[in-house]
Amino acid sequence: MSLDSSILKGRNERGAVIALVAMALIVVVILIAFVIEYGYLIIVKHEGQAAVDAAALSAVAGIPAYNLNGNTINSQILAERFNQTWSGPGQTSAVTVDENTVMHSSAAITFNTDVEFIKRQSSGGYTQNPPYTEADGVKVVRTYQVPPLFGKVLGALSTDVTVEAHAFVNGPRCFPVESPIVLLSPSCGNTNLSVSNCTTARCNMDFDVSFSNPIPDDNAAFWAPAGSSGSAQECSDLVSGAALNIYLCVGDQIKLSNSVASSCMHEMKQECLKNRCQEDIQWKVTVPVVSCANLRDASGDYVASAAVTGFARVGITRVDDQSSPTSLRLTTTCGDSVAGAPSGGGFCGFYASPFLE
Amino acid sequence: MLHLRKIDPPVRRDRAGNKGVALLELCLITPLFLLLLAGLVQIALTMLTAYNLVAAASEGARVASALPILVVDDSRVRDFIMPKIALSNMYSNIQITNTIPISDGAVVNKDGLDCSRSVSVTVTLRVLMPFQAIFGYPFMEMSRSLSMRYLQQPLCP
Repeated sequence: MSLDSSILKGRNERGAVIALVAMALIVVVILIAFVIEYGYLIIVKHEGQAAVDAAALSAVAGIPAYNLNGNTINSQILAERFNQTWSGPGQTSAVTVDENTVMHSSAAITFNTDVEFIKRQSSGGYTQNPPYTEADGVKVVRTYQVPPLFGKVLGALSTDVTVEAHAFVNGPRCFPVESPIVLLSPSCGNTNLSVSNCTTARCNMDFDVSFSNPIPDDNAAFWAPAGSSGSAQECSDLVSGAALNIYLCVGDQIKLSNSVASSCMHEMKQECLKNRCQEDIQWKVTVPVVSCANLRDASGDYVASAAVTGFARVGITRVDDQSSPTSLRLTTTCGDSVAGAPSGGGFCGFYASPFLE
Repeated sequence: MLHLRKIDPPVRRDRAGNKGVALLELCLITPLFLLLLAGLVQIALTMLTAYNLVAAASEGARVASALPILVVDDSRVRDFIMPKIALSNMYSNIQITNTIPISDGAVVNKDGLDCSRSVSVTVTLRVLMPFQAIFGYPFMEMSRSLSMRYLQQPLCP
């Protein structure tokens, strides 16, 4: 090639840089569009995950109704209630729940298509659609169609983003109970019974409970099965173990009364002595927990019965049957194996609470 | 040699005529590229902030739903979430608010009591946006809410 032709060629390359820049720009713009598109999908997936988590945690609260008679309506309402600004039925004032949104519109989780009941397996995993009496969780799966932001130019169709959440009820739901005492939930002052109690730091913590009237002003009570007389004899039978095979499940209705406090506490004291309970020797019992929010009706009056919301495993270390009101010193217990518990294993089961897995 | 002498003058003329052209082109293209860059940074910031907001609101709702005796704009929720907001020093005016457990009457259990109280957590913040800053609006306010069933209440038998 002569120098002449080289120079001529140089003259012909005028504008080549612009063409190169234009082509590079197109490639860069396509790459940017792809990254934005992908980033948007990640955000939508994140939004969707938050929405199905909330729906699953809510829906699982309706499990007791499903366990009792296969009734799914509670779970349905609880799963779908964050799909729209909800005005509760029978509400005279405008009490609303904000909806959860995905892509700036309702999360649109539908019970019949997106939610199913499941049962945890001891080996890990879960089984789908177990008999209703055995369900202890829900699975929520929702697919969102994400329209393309830039792909429309190329005629791209929407992309499916699927999110999934599994929520279970914390701890076994039924227990053989061994004591006539019932604890009121953390919001009544028993903060040691909080949902996060299954941490080592919260184990073996002492707390006092007392038994006075009216019950909602205190943090513990005596209980008796619904329909029973709630007599001192029944209380004594529970203490001594004469009342055998008393199983309670989450959702069971129990009677609460402290009118038997003095006589029953005396029985408790005797049993405590038999078990040699003291500061370092615990008399371990499984007791039901109820929510104190359930102990007052809409007008604020005391109601003498409530549904069991969970269980606590506690160690009794002191019984005071002389003071007024009578009281117990309890210690939180973690990691105990409880006979008769459906899971069969160790538990630090407190306040039945939904959790995600 | 003779041959080279013949073509020398035009080459010199050509080079002399192109002086400063590249600089001029650079000056023309640089603002456009900076604008593109600012736009890109803004899009990235918006997406990152949107992601962080969803995470913060979600985490906040989880925490609020498990706290006993929750009050409006509970400091426990704020104190828990604030350190967890990723790259929080990029943001200003971060506000974390929550409702108390709202009894909406959606589900009434067999005892006639509401068991479907829920809480909402809203995270609001301002983020500096380089693209908007060019036009005199440097900040963008972004917000995200999430509602969740309050866990410190009985299940719904």
